[in-house]
Amino acid sequence: MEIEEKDAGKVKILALSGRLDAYSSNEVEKSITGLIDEGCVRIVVNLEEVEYISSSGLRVMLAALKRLRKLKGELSLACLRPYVKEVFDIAGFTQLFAIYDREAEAVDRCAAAGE
Amino acid sequence: MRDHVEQEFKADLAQLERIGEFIVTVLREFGLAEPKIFHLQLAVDEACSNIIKYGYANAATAEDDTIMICCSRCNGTIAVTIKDRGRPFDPTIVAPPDLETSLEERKIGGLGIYFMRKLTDEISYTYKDGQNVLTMVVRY
Repeated sequence: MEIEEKDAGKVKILALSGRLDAYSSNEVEKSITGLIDEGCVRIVVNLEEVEYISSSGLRVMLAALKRLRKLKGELSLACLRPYVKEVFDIAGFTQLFAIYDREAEAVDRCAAAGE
Repeated sequence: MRDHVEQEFKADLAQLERIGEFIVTVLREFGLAEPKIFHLQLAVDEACSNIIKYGYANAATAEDDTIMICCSRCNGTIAVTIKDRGRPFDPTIVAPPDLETSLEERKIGGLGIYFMRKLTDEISYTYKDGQNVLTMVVRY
């Protein structure tokens, strides 16, 4: 799993690439937790290069979303591939998350969330 | 063309990618359609993740812990059987998660077993000769 971190104003973007399974999800969890601990409450996760996700990956995203909403922040997701989107759908997660087709839109909406 | 393929893997989360590649390769050879291959790959991944994380939670024996995966094809059905020698655990009797609850109420966990049930046509479990034997079936 490769994790690239980018700044977009008050939003941080995490671009993930590879498989998001029980092996790699700890690494992603650490990155997100690290950002929140530094005081960042608006995070966009770009999943364009993620070809596979299992429940472990969903768990990390759900934990981050819960924590950020409590802090009046937001976690938005961008660029889900069809199979990844399907896994979110089956889990009933599509209704919990703000999901966007393009990263720029996710960043704009995440920056404005709750304001 | 083969109707039965099996392979043993080390019970290590780092092996999940190889297990996924094995499932995809075999199911393509069996002629299963891509969406169903993806579904079964995910179901197998969830089962193996649980075995490695919870079934084989004893680090002292970790070097010898293995998972055997057998894929077979017969009369329009494909069965994947997963065998391990970890702690006895029957995923078929676990209550399903409530997918309708709000974010605050939503439990973190239980989704893996839900995927295994949801993405396969049949799932069965037995404990035999010191082994967990889990079989997931899809019809095509």
